[in-house]
Amino acid sequence: MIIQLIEQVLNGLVLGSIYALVASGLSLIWGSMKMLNFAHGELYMLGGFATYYAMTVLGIPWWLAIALAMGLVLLVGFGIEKLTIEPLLRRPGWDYTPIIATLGLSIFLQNAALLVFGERFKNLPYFIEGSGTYFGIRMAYQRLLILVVSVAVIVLFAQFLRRSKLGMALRAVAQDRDAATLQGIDVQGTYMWTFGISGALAALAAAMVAPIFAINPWMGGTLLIKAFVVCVVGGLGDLRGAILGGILLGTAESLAVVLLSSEWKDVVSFAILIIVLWVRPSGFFGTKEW
Amino acid sequence: MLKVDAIDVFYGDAQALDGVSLQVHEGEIVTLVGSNGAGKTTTLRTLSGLLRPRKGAITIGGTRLDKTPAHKVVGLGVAHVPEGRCLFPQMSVWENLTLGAYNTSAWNDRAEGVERVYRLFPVLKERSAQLSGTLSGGEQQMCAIGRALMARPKLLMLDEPSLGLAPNLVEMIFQVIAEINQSGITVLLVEQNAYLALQMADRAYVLENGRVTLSGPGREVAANENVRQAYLGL
Repeated sequence: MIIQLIEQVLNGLVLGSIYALVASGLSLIWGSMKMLNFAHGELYMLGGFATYYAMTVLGIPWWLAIALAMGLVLLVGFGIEKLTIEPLLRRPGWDYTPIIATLGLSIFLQNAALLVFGERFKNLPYFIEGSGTYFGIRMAYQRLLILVVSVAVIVLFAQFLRRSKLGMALRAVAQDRDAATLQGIDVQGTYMWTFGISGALAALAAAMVAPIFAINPWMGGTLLIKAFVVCVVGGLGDLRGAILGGILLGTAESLAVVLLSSEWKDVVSFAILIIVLWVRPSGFFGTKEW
Repeated sequence: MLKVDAIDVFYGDAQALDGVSLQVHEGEIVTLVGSNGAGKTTTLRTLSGLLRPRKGAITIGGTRLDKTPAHKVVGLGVAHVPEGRCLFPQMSVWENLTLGAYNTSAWNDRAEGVERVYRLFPVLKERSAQLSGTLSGGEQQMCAIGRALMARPKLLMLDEPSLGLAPNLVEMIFQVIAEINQSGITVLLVEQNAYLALQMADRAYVLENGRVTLSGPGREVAANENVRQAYLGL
């Protein structure tokens, strides 16, 4: 039983790291643009399909396929921001329209994917076959890979925000738009990067879970809801919150599967959401800025 | 150096500036005085591109400032210390200063720039790693001025630098502004403390309800009977 619990906690960390990757993108967008992106799940979905076709049609190795998918979704994110968000943000008094626009975009992208890629679920083989046993605990290499890559990317992302010139600009825009402009930061340009980078993180998450969950046009929808829960639990706009919230939710869901049954995992995550909203509505890190 | 030619600025339908013209020559300290809501802050925000004039023109060294994207204005040598400092509160003093050099040729020498600011305001060096949101009001003002200097501006615009500061700090800030000016940087100063501002300024403009009602050398404006009554309380 103990072994099984530990295995489930590890699986929960794997799932949690995926939630953290997707949620940190949402949180980045909220932090700098003060808006929600309902099309975020579809960027995740596009990342999954891009990886699938890169591996099956182009026949390139998984790591190259992931890099390609991330690059592609980065560009899609740029395009979405430039073509739909920016023109709306320019209109005074249209503050909430970009959020509604992302909702429309989400529906459009889902149906476009249905039309182009078809409704059949697609599967990829494990990137690394086999599993290892450590101290009596079994773990598939694929899951280990997800954990290692997610942790590495999140650490890199945090360092990027902390130290790079662009990362500093993103944080500056999040904290004071006008002051950032006065320092010479192109706010619209940072918005494009915000969308692009958050999309690339979602694409990475989708690519890595593609061998475990199937790729399909609707895969972004359920995940997005979980990512919103993570953001609320952790505190919107805070990277630490997205990471901690992701880990908490992933672990709780995995434990729910083993302690109750798999149908109960969503009940557990939404119960957590309700409790957090009740007790601490601002989330763990109830801050406003990065 | 800076020429503002009959600009009209609106917030929606409300007119904030009505045909404001002014000039700043190289090496001068010019001050804008006037009561709250007269349009002083609006003027500075229009100069740095955060607001656009509906009519009129702003030129600096032959370049149309009112046609320049707001984020490129600082690259033309115009730095703006906004009202209420507007630091990045969740960032350290060092990060705030470094960002001041973001879009200018000064970025490559930013480490040296930070050192120069620390020489001007030694207390900032002690606070280097501290989040700027946790600084005292005076330290925040120093940090905001330092951040603007990081861009190595030709023209420094300051909006109410004395706001909310203790008298000894106000004196210190004004002394620093005089030093900055002596080092060759032109200064455009908006101040509620008209007495201090008029004393130190080479020239002054008085704004009332979005219009320039009086202009001239600082001491002449300070001697004007209306100004003495309305702004100096004499």
